[in-house]
Amino acid sequence: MTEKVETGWYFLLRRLHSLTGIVPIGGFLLFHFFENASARHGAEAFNQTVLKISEMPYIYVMEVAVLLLPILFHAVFGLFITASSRPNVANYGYARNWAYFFQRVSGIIAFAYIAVHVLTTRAWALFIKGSAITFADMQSMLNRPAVLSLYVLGIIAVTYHFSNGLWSFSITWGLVRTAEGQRRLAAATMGLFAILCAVGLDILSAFVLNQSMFARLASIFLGA
Amino acid sequence: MSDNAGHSSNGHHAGSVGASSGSRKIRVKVRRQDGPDTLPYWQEFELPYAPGHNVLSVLMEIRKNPVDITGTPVEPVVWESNCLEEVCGACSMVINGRARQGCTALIDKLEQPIVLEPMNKFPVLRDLAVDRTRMFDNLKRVKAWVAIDGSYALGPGPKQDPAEALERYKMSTCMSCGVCLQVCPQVSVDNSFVGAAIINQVRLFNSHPTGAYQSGERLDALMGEGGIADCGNAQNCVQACPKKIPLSESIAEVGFDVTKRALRKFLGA
Repeated sequence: MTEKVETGWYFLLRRLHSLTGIVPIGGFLLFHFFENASARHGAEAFNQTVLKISEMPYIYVMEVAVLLLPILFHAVFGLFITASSRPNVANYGYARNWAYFFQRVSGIIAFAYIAVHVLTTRAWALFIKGSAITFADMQSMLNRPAVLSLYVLGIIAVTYHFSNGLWSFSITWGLVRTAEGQRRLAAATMGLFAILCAVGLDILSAFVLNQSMFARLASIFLGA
Repeated sequence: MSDNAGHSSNGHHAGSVGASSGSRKIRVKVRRQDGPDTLPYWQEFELPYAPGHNVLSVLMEIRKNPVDITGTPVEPVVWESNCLEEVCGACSMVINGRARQGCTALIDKLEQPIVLEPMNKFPVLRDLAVDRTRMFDNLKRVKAWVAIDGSYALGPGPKQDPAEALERYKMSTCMSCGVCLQVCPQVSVDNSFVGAAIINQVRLFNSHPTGAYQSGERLDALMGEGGIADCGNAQNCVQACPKKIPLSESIAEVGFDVTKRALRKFLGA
């Protein structure tokens, strides 16, 4: 409540936190799903995709500047924001209050998941294995029920955090202003969550079941 | 919702009355605190049922004969109230876990025992009375007024669009009751977030044709510590606001304005 404040540093950091969640992190999530969806077409297709991306120009610079630093900033500052939160869903069980609560819970889960995910895939391949990660590497890792559970939980958390974050972002920046618009956006972003979550789990199933679960379901119900 | 002037004998009022003596009772549990620095404790009271009571009239009844449920004489419960018609905001308290005004909390619609607590996002002065200075300080900080002082007559103000004035009227019904701060998961007694009421006042005065002269100063104040950036979009404020002020719209509107101002300031855009 002090009258004299350093002009807007905290404000700028909060806005930067909000922005990095969408660009580049949210953008990368979509790209990451897109590239990993190649696993639906089998080991060969996935390995080729990984190889192609690892040979992209400026890949290390991109990985540090566009992924590592923004994600670290978003996660660490996000934990700092979460620490100041006093959740009260027990007394005020409104839908948006639950969404607010899950945004923080999913953020913490996503941070832990992404840390494990990056360290055991990209970092491991780069610093220990010495060559690009393969479909077989992923399969042997996901064979362990604990790892698979973490991936399922991680995918749910990440896709929720991004979808609901998109809603919050739109209000914070004043892009969606009327109550009605905010309600519609809430429905749309929950729809986005359902879709992204399904896609993420479908990609996961491609490793675990050796076949996309959607493809399998389609073959069961549509007959093949 | 049906009545508040029913007969005490028909036994069809809402709320479970757990009186053993056959006649209906009103049972109240109050979280008491003797002073700002003393520990809180609970006390229960029971009084004969009468139709049409609200939380404040029950507190007044208790004050007439302040004995607790065991018959021990106690200090009367302290609370704050003025208007008794939900326009002053003074009697805000937490009733059965929810922040609202005591004057419009009808006993017939409350589950018993009725649990009364002070709003814990503000320093407790005594019992249910809290210190809302935080809100008044922040209203000053954002200059929540129209500046018309001068050394000569300024003449009549500019004409206003009646439709816009009507929208502003809704925003102006804020009584600084503190409910939006109490229900906000981003506000705590020891942090500095201004809360929805203050952000709404910035929108109110920035959209006023004369008040708009200070709009930059108001937005700057909200870009400082404890400003609008602390909003987490839980939107409990708009659900709980007793005056039904469109607080989530005000936050988004002001959010847009500070975005614009920040871009202009930092990028020269």
